[in-house]
Amino acid sequence: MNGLTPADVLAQVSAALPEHCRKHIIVIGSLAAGYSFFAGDSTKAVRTKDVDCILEPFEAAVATGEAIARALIDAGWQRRLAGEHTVPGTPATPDRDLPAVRLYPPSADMKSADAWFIELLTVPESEHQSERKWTRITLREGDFALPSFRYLSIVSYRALPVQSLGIRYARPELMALANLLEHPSIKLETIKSELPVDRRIKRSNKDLGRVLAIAVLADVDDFRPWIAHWLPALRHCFPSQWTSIAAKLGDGLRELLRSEGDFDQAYDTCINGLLSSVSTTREQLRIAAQRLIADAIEPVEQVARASTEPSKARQGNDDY
Amino acid sequence: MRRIRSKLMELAEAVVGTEYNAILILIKPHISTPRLTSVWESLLRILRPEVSNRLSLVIYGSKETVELPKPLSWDLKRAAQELIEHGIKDPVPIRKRSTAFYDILRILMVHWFRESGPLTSKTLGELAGFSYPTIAASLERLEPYLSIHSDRRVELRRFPEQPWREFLALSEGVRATRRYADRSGRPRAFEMLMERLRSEGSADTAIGGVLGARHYLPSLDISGIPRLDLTINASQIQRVDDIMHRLDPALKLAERNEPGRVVVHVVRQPQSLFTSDSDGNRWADEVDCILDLYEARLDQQAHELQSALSAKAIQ
Repeated sequence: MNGLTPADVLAQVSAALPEHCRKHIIVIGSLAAGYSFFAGDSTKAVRTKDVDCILEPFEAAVATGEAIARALIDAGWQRRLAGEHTVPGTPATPDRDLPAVRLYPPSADMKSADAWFIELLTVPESEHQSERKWTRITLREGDFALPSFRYLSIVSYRALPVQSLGIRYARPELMALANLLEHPSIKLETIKSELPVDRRIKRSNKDLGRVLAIAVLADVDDFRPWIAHWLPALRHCFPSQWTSIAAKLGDGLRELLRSEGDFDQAYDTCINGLLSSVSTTREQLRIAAQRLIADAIEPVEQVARASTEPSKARQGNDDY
Repeated sequence: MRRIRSKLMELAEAVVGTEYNAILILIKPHISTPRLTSVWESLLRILRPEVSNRLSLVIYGSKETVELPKPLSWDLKRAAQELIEHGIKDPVPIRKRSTAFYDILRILMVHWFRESGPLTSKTLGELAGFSYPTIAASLERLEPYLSIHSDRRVELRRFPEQPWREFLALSEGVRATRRYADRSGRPRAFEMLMERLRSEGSADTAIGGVLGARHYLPSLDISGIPRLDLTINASQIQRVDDIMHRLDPALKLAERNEPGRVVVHVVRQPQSLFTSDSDGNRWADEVDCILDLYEARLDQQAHELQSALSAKAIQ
């Protein structure tokens, strides 16, 4: 989709949702970032195809997911029939083989480059979920699933309201945190694509690029205030694990900066995505990374490490 | 040559009772390789084998690199190469006699501006880090501008016009000035850089330039700050890039003729003349601030500060 206006898309999504479900919806991803940074600027657009919506809390996800999917399908929203699993499952279908709920708006031309679709996800059931997990929902058409990823709880933490629409959007600095946590190293996994294998974008590069795009769009020269959002989110979402996961918070980003090829991929995904409306050079993106590391990542890593050492824990916790 | 002998002996002492090897690396020495080899061999003869066997000398010349007593192992060679690259990029400043005069001039001027009274040659030597003959030679050059008290203590009695003009002409080299440009497209405010400098709490870095000048002369006729001037102690010269990175990773060594957002100068005397205020800011001395203004082409303001400080000293 070229040139999505975030506010328009969010208004359309919100209007289509049953009113009682809206409070359980948090929009994440590039649309949320775009809304956060460009809401007041109709000239700024975001290039994205998927509008990712988290359903939370986990306990309400199944009922909310079923109600939303039902309402949208009944209103003429069209299923996206692409990807590995497209056929609705039966009670016998393993959860991991169920299709996700991905729906185009009724008027969308699915072949158009501008077409966008909504995808439903949910937060993890607990901090101990480490891998992707599928939660089954049942519709008249068959069974579907809500995917959840380990760090979606971070993204949903203290989400912000979208005007008076009743839905919320993720805080950009917490989306950045979740992506940093997700990639403590550059993994080989690539984004599904028809390109030759050696031309495919690594998932880590795209997601870490997203971190840098957010840093650029935040238009700040001081990232230290992000610590005040990061630490409470880490402590709240991962009460028994936050020190170990935060201690290596910047490892993936540092690896990205060391690897020209990986950094180039991150840069390319940024300028073709979130930064498409904001002229940014490679050097500026690199500097954004270096500032983020020095201002926010290193202090959080230090607090996390200090918290594992009883003698230093008090000092580290007192600082923030 | 005496310095090289002394360094080799220091290394010998350092490895005694340890498992370490030590390498002395000489980057483009002014002494010939055969002469250095001869010194090396004569020194090794007086050391015990268990010590001499763990010492190496690398002579990194313009045309070739010589490793003594034998080629280094691969890992030591790599470590040496890193040190050589670092040494070429950030040479440790050697205090030259030719610049000693300006260090001594600076101390006398600052003491004069601050009306802190006359100094003995011994104190001057301690402050400047030079021996008596160097101090005496400098004082002789400065004699027309000095008051020499009955107890031999000295102080300036008027502004040293001629030596000052020389200092001005040579200041960039004497102070090893480096410029750092902002490459972020969104430069950090000077106030933020100052705040970060304060939080670092380094006693070896001080603010000069327009901000420093305003500290010493609040009525200085200038609006806006064109750049941030910092003065650092020479002991920190190899950390300058690190200090800059901590202030702001966007600060990169400027290209030729590229204006600096942050400009760094080095003071070489062992005891800095920095001052501090109740907010925790550390200020470069008055002489540095005047030099910074001239260097930034703020001649009018530089003259204003110089005149104000001189007038106060003469009163």
